[in-house]
Amino acid sequence: MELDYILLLSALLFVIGLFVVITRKNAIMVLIGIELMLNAANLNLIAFSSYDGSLQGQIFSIFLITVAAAEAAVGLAIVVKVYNYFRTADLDKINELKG
Amino acid sequence: MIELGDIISPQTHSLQVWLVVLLLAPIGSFLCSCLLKKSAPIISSGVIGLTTVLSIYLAINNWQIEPTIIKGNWFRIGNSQLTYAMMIDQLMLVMAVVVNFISFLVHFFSIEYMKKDKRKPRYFAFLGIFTFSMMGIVLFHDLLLMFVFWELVGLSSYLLIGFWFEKKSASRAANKAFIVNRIGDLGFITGLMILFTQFQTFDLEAVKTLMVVSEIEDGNWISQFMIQGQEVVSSLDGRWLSAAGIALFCGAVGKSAQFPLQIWLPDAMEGPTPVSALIHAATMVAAGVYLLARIFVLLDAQALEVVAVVGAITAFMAAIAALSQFDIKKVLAYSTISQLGYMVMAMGIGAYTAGLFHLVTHAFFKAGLFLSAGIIIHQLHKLETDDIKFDAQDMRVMGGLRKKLPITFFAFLICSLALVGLPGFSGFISKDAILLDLAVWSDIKGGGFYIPEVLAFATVLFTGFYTFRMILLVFFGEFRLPGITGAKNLGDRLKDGNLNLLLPAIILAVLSFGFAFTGLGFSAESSWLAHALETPVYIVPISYAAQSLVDISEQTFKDLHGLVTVVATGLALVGIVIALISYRPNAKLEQSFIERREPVGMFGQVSFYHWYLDAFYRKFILKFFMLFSQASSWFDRKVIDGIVNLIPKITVISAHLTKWFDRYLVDGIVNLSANLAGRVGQATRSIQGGNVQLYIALSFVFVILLMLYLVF
Amino acid sequence: MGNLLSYIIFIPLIAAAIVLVLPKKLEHSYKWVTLGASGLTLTLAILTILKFDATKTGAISSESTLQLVEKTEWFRISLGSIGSFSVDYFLGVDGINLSMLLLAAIVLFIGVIASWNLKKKRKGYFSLYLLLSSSVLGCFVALDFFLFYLFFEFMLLPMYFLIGIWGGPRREYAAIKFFLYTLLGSILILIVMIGLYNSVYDPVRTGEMAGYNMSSTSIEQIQALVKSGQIETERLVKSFNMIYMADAMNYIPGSVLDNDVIKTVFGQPARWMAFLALLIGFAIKLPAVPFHTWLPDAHVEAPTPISVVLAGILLKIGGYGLIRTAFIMFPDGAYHYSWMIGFFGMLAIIYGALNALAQKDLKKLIAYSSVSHMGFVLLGLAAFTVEGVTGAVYQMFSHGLISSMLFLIAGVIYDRTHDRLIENYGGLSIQMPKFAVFVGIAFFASLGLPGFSGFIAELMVFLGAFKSSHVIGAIPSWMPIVATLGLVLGAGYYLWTFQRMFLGQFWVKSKEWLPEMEDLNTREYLMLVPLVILIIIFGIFPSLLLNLIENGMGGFIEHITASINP
Repeated sequence: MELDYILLLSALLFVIGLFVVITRKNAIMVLIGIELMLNAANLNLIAFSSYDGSLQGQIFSIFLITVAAAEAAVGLAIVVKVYNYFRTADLDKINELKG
Repeated sequence: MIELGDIISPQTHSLQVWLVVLLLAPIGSFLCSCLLKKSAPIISSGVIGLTTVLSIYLAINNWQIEPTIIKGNWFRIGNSQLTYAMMIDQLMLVMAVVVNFISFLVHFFSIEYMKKDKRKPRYFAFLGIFTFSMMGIVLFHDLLLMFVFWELVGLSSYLLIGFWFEKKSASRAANKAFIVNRIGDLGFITGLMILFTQFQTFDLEAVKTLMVVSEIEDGNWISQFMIQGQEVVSSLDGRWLSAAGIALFCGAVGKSAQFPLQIWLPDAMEGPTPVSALIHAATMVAAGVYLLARIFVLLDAQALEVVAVVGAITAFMAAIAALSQFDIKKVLAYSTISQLGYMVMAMGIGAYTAGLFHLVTHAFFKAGLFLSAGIIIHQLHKLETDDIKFDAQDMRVMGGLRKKLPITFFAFLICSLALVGLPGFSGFISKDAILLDLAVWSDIKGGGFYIPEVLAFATVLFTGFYTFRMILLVFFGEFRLPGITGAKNLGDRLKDGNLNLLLPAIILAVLSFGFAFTGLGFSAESSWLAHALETPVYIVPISYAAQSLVDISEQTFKDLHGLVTVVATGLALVGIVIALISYRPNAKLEQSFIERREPVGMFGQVSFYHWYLDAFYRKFILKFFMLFSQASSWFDRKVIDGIVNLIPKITVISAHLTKWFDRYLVDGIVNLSANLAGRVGQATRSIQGGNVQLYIALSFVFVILLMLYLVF
Repeated sequence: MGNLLSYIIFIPLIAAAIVLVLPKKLEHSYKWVTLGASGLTLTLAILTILKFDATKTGAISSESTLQLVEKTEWFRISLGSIGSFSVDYFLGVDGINLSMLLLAAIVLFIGVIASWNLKKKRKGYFSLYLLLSSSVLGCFVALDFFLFYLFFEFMLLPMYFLIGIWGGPRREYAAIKFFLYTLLGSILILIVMIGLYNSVYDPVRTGEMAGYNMSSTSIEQIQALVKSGQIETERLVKSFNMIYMADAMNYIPGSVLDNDVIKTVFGQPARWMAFLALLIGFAIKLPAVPFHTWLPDAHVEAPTPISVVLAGILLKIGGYGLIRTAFIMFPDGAYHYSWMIGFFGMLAIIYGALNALAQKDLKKLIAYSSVSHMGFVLLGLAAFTVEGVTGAVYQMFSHGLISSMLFLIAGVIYDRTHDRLIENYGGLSIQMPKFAVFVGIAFFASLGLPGFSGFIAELMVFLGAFKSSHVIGAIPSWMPIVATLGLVLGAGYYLWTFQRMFLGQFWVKSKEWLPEMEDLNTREYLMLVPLVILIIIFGIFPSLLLNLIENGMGGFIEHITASINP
């Protein structure tokens, strides 16, 4: 299988994630988008790992999946807290950083 | 080389005490009059009487004296010691007698004349100042001190002309007299400047001594002398020598009422008549001639010509003006100017003796005329009541006074004959001498210099005319006043004056006879006075000197003498006859005289208005100065002060500009930068919208851009 | 009595302090204190005259000609590598300022009598008056430029307030105009003063500084050493001493105003420019046409005594300053500009007289006559002859007396009616005959009648100015001849005014004035009579003053002509 295809797939995946992250109003959806982008990165790691024949990439992707799980948990917890605080999960409304 | 210090070093003489008394006694009279109000007339007359006696005594005792000089130091400036000097010579003695004597007569006359005036003490005080100043001119032999007293005479003349200062015309005449005199004095000062620059002294004796040794070299006037052992060489352009003489003569032009400054004298008749007799006939106006006599030898040919021509013009112009006046004092004033013109002309042609002789004779007969006129005016004034007002000097109200005032008439007549210059009277002798010298002078000079001769002889004719016109109008015919006022018996109250008034007039009339000066002789040569006043010799450098009449052979004079006498007397008689024809009682002119407001015809007008000189001065010179002064005042206020005020205005405007600049430009830039930062902040702030998704999007875009940059 | 001059300066100052601390209850005593102080000053000034040795001769640039000298170092500042400078408390009199000192003392004394009936804010008035007295007197005797300038500037302050508070309706305008005008002059003087301090050193102190024993070393030796550069610049002690400034040898070689190596400013030699700056600075004070327009305004608005002081003394500081600084320090510049000075003097004489002729206000007329008379000072100074310069000084002295009298006379009228317009009066000599006599005397004195001091002064100026063109060629001979026209114009405006105000039928504009038109009172006699006596005495016996200043004037002329090749 060609490496290119896999990279294209991962890129597609990444763009979809990015698109979700930028366009979705809901924080949960954004988190999902981020998961997609992470998984696109994972896919890249695995693809390169199989391409150059070493296992480093695959091991790293395992770590990443773990971290992503932890991160998803933390992210969700924050989203829940945010929701509790602001009574919404709409990111446009939560603009406390606005200067 | 001459040491100046030696000439001007102090000298004393046993007579100096008397001279000082002579000078200061009038000041005593002034002080007495100021302090003792009531008895001022008597006391001041007494004081002047005593000085008259003193001056006569001095004159008789010292008649044969060699000219003696008394000197002292006044003050010094730099290296130059300014001195005062008094000269005792015959001229001074004669003048002292004339001044004191006439002053005394006028004082005496004024006791009665000013009796009713409430400001009597002031009047006599002013007379005191005048006598003092006049004696100063006479006594001092020093140009600076002469100038000092010259000005003081001007002051006393101002005070006396304006004595009745409530009258506007009087105060105006006083101003005019002083200011016109001052114009002449500018010349005097200029003369002083020139002589001082050349000789560093004003002492006339020293000036003369140094003038003798001064020389003309290459057109430069050079004199060398020593001051305190230091050699001084003064060099001026030679023209300054003539200029000095002419400049000093300007002073005489002012004071002696010569052309073109004679306009003040007719107006000066606003003063009390005795004052006119003293100041404006006998003494002060003669001061100019006296000054010319004192500086006679310093005048060069050119200056003398100017003097002669000016004198002749004045004599002629004034004689014309006297022809048609209505005011008796005006006639006398113009005749005074005319006679002064003779004297000045005499000085100019070098007839020193004749000129001074005429000064003395004129002083007596003209003072006599004025005092007689004063009697008429005074007596006529007495007729004035609250209802009847008239001008007591106007000849139109007079007429036929011969019968009312017989003694006055005779005094007036005698003095008039002297004025006309008929043989046997003093005026004849002196005028004859002048005319003779003039004839000789004109023959020598020739050409245009015959004009003064023509003018002078024409003046003789006119003098005869106007004098007899005056006599006829005043003393002959009917007394016109009753007819004018309508009060029939006015004439009955008119009578001759008392002794106070008559005595001075009589004395002066007696002195107007020829024998007072020549005894039994007939011409000036036989006069004791002429012998005393010998014509001095010019001492200016030879190339500038005029030809002296002294150097001309006596035969020339003798040849002309008969002719001159005959022509002059004849002309005078012709004048008298014309006057008799036209102004005899009931003649046509005499009849129409009374109705006229002013003479008709161009000649009459020119004569009446004195050649329009007054109008010329008023309309042109005075107006020019007034306009000029207004213009300079405008210039001062608008231009200079305008500029001055403009500077602060410009400062304020520029301050406003600076303020604007500061507020909008400097502050503007500051604000702009702050604003710009704000705007940039604003602009960037919108990116920081708190929208996390946007951040991400942007960061992604920029990452891509970065990558693109890195790749390419 | 060693410090006579200090006493003269400080007595008014102490009196001013006394007036300030006296409580308001004693308001009436203010004038007595002032009178006492001025009287004392006058006495001391007369004492100065008596102590003055008129026979002493010598160069104007040497301290040996000075008398009653007081000299103490005031402060000295070291300026590192360019040497140091010292300022002295240096007073003294010589033939130049002696007459001015006397004049100032007389006029200030008369001024107090003239202020006798003042009612408004007396404390302020008399203390300021005393302050003014002190600074004026100080200005005349100070011989250190710094001290002179200090006094010169200090006059402005009291003068400003005296006009601005006690003056007439337009007093603020007049006061500000006066202040600004004079300040402009002061700035020019200040510039030259700085230039001078940069250029002049004190040979005695420099010698001491350089380690010479000054009792055995002569000033000339030090000067020679400086000239040859053997004394370095660090050791030069710069000086404000006006006497040193007079000596060309005391100028530091190569400095701005050095006499030998001519520096230029705006293309002109710096010394000429310095002279010009001083000339303009003092001409404003004099005042000379065209810098005179502050004078009529200041005079018209100032109260009578202040007008008297202004005309009597302050104007003379202009003339005195010209002599003391401009002419003595820069004779070369003076000679170069003499034509111009003479011309402006002549112009002032005629222009002032013409303007006086056009005035309707009596005080303005007198003010313009002052302009005219001060023109004689310029003309006399420009002549470069001893007659001219003596005449200029005599004119200042005489004009001080005469103009004081004229302003007092204007004050007499103004006190009665509060109106100064000539046209509002007529025939006053009927109602006020004695007053008319004094007015007559003042007018005739001012128009230069012989017998009064003004005549002597004007005569000397004319003689000197005419002589000038033939002796030294400073000014052409037509100038004095044209200037004589001023005499006629002077007679014109005075006599015309006298005629309009005093002759004719008695008439005043308003009926309300009639009860006020009383003849002179005792106080007015007290201020007028002494002036009349002085004017006549100095008119008949000029040697009283001339003998005192003769050597000073001679020295002055010798000094200023020494540097010129005729």
